[in-house]
Amino acid sequence: MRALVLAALLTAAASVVQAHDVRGTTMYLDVGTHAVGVELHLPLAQLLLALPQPVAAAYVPAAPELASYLRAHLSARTRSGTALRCEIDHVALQPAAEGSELTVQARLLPPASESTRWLELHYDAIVHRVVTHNVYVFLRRDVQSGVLEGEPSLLGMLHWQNKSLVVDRTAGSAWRGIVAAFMLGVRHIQEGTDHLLFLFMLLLPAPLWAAAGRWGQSRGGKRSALAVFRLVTAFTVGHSLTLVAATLHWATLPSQPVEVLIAVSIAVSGAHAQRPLFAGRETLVAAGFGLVHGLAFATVLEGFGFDATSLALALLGFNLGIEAMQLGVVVLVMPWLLLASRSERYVWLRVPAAMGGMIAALGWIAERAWGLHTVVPALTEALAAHSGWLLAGLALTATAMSLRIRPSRNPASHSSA
Amino acid sequence: MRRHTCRPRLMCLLLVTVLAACGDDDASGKSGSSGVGGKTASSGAGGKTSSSNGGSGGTVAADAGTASNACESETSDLAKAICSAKAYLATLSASDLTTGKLEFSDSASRTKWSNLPGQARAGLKMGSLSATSQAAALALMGSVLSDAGVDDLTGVRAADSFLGAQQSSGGGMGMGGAGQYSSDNYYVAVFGTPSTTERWAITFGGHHMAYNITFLAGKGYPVPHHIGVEPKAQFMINSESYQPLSDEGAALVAVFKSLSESELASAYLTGTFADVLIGPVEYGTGSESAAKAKFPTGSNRTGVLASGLTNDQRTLIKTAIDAWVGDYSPAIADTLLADYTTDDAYADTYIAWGGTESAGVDVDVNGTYMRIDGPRLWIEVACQGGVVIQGKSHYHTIFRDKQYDYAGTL
Repeated sequence: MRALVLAALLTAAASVVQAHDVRGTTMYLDVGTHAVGVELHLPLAQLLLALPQPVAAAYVPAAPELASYLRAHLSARTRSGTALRCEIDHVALQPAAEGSELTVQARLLPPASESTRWLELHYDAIVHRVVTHNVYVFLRRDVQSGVLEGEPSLLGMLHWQNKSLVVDRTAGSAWRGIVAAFMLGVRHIQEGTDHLLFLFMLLLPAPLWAAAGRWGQSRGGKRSALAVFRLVTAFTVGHSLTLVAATLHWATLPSQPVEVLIAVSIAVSGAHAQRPLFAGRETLVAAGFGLVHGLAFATVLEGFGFDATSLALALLGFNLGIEAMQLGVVVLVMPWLLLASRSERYVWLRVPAAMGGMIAALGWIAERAWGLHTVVPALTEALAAHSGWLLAGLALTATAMSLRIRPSRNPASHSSA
Repeated sequence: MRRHTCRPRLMCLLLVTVLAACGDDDASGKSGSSGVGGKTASSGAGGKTSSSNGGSGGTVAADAGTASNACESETSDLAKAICSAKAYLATLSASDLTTGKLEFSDSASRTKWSNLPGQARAGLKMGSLSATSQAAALALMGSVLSDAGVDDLTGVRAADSFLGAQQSSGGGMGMGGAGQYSSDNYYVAVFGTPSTTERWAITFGGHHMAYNITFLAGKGYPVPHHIGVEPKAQFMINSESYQPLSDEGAALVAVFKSLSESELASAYLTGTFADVLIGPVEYGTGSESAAKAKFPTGSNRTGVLASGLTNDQRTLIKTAIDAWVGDYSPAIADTLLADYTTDDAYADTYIAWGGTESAGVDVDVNGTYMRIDGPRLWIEVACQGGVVIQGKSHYHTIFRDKQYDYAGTL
């Protein structure tokens, strides 16, 4: 979901650029410490004007031809004047409303001893021949300056009379990068209703004993806290593993099945919250579903692979942010669940909540697996937007439940109070 | 190519009606306004040199209605422009005013113009205005334009309706869906409060059109002004025929036709011109910096100097410059034309062209490019491949003033 939002933002940014000049080139820079990622969007029709003539109208240059053309027109130097190596990683032709464009992924790499935090970029593809062409250069990512997402910012416009640009990112620091990634992790959980709901479903039955295929009495504060600790740790270990693995491209899955599986994880843990399905093996299940959620977290950090340092900082900060936020949610929710679970009436909280979670999960499954749009996902998001009130409601319910049990069980407490 | 000519038929008819209807009416009446013209006709005699083969008016003018224009009795062009701007604003509802009348300080909106259809623009869309407001908006444009200028405005809008008709009849290509091309898709905005002393501006534009007229201490600066047209050839729509920009194109071509072979060779620019060099590069930025950086400087300024040419050739250059500058009312145009054509200016004015060198200056060849690059003046014409009507070139032109774009107020 988050990845979709990010993609939408980038598209919106691109359309701002396009509004200037549909026939211009767009260049996105991802600045790291030991590498700079370069993404180019070249309008094919303009590129053809720049190639040695004559060129057939429907001609599309092959990847190796384009790569060698670009290497001749894209270069950069570090502050000490060392030339960076240019690696063209990927070339693709994409049809667009205003005419096809070529998308190119490249990296600029300095010798190991030098940094890319300051560089002078020189670029004149198309422009060397087509004097009317403009190249819009954007900064898209710079972890160490806290630029991890959002609309790319325009650094400058290259054209026939101005073919180079100094990119000075020396102001950044590793600490700033970690903090920004941490905040991104926090926001991701805050806005990730599905992740939160899964966590909530796991927590619902955590304070209870399971016996004979039913949830029974509260197992007491200490044991419940221990159970919660184990659950959260298992989920964290699970999603951290896949977050790292997917970010480093060791293991990846297309996002659609991952999103479906996340919804399934909510449904399963919701069912478990109603009737114990895997009592005693919750830790294992939490870890297993954690693996799935980690794959989704990884989509946020897609595209940071251009630079090892940036990736490490982003990964560390982002994961810490996720953990911190998760812990915060547990600390806010768990005491009320513990309090309420001491009452017989906890079933009136647990079962409707679990049902609600399952309905939300089914809504997402329908949408993500079959593209069936129901009101459920929108309703869920609308409810989640009022998380403060939901928490207050939970606190009130739990308090009410605990107040109603006490006088009947221990009348003495009344007089002593 | 301008002014004080009565554009035949509809215009004369309109003027007669107007004069008969309102006689000596005081200018204070802000009602309704009208007719395309806005300019007093000093003589009904021919002399009409504007492009559109007799068909001024047309659909667009007809839309403008026939209400009286109280601003006609104002004595100066500036007073007419102010009166017309106020009359136009008076036709708008309170909610339309929030979009239609913007702060002068809103530079981002003042630079939100483009040659392209379908781009976000400042102000109100003509097609969503009442007939009265549309007429008042056209009267406002008429108050700052000459007759030739009104012809271009009318003709370029008619061309868009023509493209729309071509596309919907399956006869053309194009960018975007139905309704992309239409004389309705033009936007008008007033920035600041019209006054003789304060800074204010009018913008009017859409596909192939951007009028940016900025008033500074009572003087209007009509730059940057983009105008283009597809098709370039004469076309008919709603029984009217048009050929806007043919006078601009012909006047500039005449300059190059007058050059000798060696002059043509030294006026030739290498490189490919896929469009004008300095189009809407400042779009939405509220800053001139992107445009300013693209003007050629130093040894990049090439071509043949106007001062080195004969008197006859310089006259042709002046006529060509007048084809753009003269699209505006005398109060705006006269000093600019004088400034651009002094001996000092000509000593620093380069005439240059680009495209297929072997083809020469041929506007029917894609990529043919012409420009006048003066100390202040900047005029470009690019002949581009057709977008809707494939296989035919069409004009993109721009008129800028290196010093007075947006009256230097950005």
